Amino acid sequence: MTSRTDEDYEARAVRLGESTERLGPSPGFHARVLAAIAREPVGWWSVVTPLAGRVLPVLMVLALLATAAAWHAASGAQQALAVPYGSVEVEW
Amino acid sequence: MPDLEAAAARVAAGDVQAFGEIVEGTSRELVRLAARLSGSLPDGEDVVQDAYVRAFRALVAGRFDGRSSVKTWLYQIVTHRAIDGLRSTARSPMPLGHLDELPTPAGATPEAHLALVELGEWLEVLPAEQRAVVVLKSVEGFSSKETAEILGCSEGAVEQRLVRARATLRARRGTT
Repeated sequence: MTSRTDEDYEARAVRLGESTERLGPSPGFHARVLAAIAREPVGWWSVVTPLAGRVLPVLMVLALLATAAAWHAASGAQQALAVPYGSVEVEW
Repeated sequence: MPDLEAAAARVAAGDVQAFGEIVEGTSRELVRLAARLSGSLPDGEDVVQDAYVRAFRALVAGRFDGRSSVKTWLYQIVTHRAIDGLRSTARSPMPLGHLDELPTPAGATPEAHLALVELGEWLEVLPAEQRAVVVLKSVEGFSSKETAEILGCSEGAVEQRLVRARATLRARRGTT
């Protein structure tokens, strides 16, 4: 069952919708928007930002691999240095 | 009506001029929506201009994911910018005086201007989200599903806000 106030609500919403149907931008609005767009920088950041999303994961993986390789090389060097020290014979 | 999806793709590929086609094809309905939400045509134009700039930035930065149509996406941006504007106005209300005595802005007939003022005064008691639901669903004529997509909420939330809005408007009617 629809109450009288609900009918009033619907009727008023429809009436105000119809009455404002022909509203539109004022003359010069398009030019104003396009001027604002023209002021937007479309330089390096517009190229870098989408690229960063694709390149960053690859760079992170490469950095991890480089870190692992450096750690591996460092531990090998430690071992290589440790062996000779352990076998040094001192003669008097 | 230009092909908005194609124009958006061209903007994303660096054809800045293609954004003009998007403005040309959508400004009328977006300004009308923003005016209905804010209760003022000049305020509505400001909201839409700001929304266009944000949309342009998103397109050139590759942040438009295409999950919704370009038109729905623009409706989402405009609606949320208008809601933000209504919230900030609610925090620092300005003395409005008699809005219907203000000169009719360009872009509106005197009748449409008066109707817009009446719409704004009718809905001014509502919180911004409820006002948006009333405008989108009852004035613009969107379905609950479309309204939910624009607002980024569930259909249940749309219905709930509409029930509350009607109750508030009914209570206000009872006191006047």
